[in-house]
Amino acid sequence: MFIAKLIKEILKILQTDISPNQIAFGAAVGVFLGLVPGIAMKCVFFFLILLLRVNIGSALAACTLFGVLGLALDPAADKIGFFILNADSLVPFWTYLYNAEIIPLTNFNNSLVAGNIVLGIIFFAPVFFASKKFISYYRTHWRDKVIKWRVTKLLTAGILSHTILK
Amino acid sequence: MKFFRTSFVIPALIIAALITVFFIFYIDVYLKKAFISAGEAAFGAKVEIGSLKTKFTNFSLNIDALKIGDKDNEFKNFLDIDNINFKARFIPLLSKKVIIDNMSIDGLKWDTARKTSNKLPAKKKKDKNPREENFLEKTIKEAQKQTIAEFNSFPGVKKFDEIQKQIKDFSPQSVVDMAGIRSVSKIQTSYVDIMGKYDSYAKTINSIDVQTQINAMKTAAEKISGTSIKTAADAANLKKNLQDLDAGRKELEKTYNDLKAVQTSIAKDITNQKNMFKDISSLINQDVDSICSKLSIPNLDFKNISRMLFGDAWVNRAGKVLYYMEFIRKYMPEKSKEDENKTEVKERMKGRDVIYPLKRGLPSLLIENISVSGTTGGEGKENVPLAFKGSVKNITSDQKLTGRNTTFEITGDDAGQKIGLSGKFDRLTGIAEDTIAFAINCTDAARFGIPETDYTPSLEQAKSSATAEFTLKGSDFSAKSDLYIYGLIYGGAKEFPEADKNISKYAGSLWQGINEIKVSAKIDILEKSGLNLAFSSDIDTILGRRFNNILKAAIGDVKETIKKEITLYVESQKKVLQSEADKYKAKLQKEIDAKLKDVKKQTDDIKGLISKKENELKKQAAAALIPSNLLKK
Repeated sequence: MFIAKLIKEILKILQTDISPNQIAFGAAVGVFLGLVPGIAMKCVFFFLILLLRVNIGSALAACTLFGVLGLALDPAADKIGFFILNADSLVPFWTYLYNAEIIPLTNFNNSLVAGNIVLGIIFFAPVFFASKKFISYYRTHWRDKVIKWRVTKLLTAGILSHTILK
Repeated sequence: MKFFRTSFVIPALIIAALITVFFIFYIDVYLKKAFISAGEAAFGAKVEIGSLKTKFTNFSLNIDALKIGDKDNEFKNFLDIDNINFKARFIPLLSKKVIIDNMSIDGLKWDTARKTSNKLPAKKKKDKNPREENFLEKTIKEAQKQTIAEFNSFPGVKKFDEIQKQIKDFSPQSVVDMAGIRSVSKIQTSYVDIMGKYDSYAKTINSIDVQTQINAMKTAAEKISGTSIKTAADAANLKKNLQDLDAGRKELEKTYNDLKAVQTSIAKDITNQKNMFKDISSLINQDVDSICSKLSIPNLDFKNISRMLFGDAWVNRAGKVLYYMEFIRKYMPEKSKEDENKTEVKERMKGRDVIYPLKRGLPSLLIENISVSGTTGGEGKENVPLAFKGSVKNITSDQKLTGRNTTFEITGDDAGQKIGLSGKFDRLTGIAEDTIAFAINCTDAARFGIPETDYTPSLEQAKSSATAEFTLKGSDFSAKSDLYIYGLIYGGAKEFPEADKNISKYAGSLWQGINEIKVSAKIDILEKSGLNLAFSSDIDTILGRRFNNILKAAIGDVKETIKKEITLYVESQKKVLQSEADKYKAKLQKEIDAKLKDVKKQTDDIKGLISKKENELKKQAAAALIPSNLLKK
């Protein structure tokens, strides 16, 4: 049911006229939400998503996608995080942050958190631009075709879809 | 507003406002409950808070009428504080750090009376293994047991009473078999010996047939007396008879001498027996010593009375201080320099935490300064209250971050009484070192909690001065104290009307003139050498000497009684035996005397007869002109 709901949400975003920038930005921020482990950091990014005028649906879709992808990326994230947390030139900086107020609550000193933030930063721009381009391309070439699909009609139909999805 | 979602911001602000309202109106109630619950868990007794108020404008907390029950005394408060006020820094609170710059504790009292029980309702016991006692806890308990045992042995003074009873109810027969007493045995042996001798003398006397001898002599004498000299043959015959008679006389004289010898022996034996009775007194003395050794006359070690008296109170005090030092150690654990600078890597399920050294950061708890004021009095306390004030500085979970030790200093000076309490909890060096020093002057001696007994002076009116220092370095605990008590009065029977009069009398003799005591106490519990408990006091020597003198006097009384009893018994035995022996001796003496008298008379008669007949012979010879040469022959 969650998959169906997600597909419906994605179709809704794609079929409506929401700004591609909002959708792309939402997806880019959703990458962080999906990748970075730990409740504290997730709360921070979720708060940002709610506060900023970004598309929540695209953010959740990216979160789901990168959440699953993150499982595969964790070993790499751990290595990257561990490397940068122990990089001699950065240790004083990390030590400063570690001794600062509030910041230690983010668990930035965890190798997975640090590594996934790095990966999030790396993926941010590609995800943003790729999403934006994909939306434009979809709306130009695919939107009219997809809307005619029976599945699309079924999923996007107001009451009917609501009944089926329940 | 283009970048922000108004549909989120407005509800978020409303929720934040509601949370704030909740905190303003309800947080005090929940915080009070949390404080009470945490306090009860920590102290194991009821914790009561009169009121608790928080202010979010400056993050301050004000607690009124805080009472923490004493878990060892149902109707007492361990702590009773009128007011606690402090203000925490906001930003560190977000990082779960409590930083308090100034705190005030006013109206601090302890051991105050409660009207209601402080016991917590019984909880279900968890299936949890009880915490194992550490070396210090075990050793202090051992020391407590030891001092309690020593204190309980103090009423050894009671043994005076036992001695007294022994004197009163003493009966040598009840203690030992009198036949086994050497002096009595000697008397009996002597009696048997002398009776044996008397038997032997009786046999000797009976074997001498004096009468036959006398009869033979009489016959011979009669024969000679009737002889007349007419012829020379008669004269020769008489002469021969006279010679036979003289031989018989000599035999009689020998019998006489034999009887005399028996008489002399009896006299000698009597003299010997008298001499033996003279020696019996030394035997009686030996018997007294022997019996005394069999009696359970106490041999009390009175060398360290100060330890007996003050040991329990001292070890309890040291134990209490140690308990609180360990309590502080639990919340202010020691940390080595290596721990401080090490970058530690902790493996965990997801990722790894890299821990950086905390250098200029804030510890999770820091109370820069606490100003304390209070009184030694309070509800249910009868002593003269003494007001005190002072401060506690740098209470922190990590002294290395603040670079300062935790210290405290409290002083009080009122109505002649002085009190001083200071301490230092050092976590800056590799080994944790906690020191608490205490000094008090001109205070009521009763507050030291030294138990009152029938054998010791009352501390009710006495005053005292004391100093004490407690140190816990690593796992080594050491404490020393000097106590000076003055104004002691031993009330004896007046003070303890229910006490035994004898005990009061002896204890009175012990304490007479002693109105002050100086005691030095020391306790070391070291990992290497274990427990070392030392006491010294000026009263040890004085009381030890006095006790020994009293004990000697009491034992002397017992000895005197025993001697009197044995002498009486020996005398009675002697009298009975002597009477028997005297009767026997008198009988023998009578027999001997009679025989001696007869023999003597007969011998004298014979002598006279022989002399007479010899004269007759001479006269006859002269008359008949018998040639003188014939008479000469």
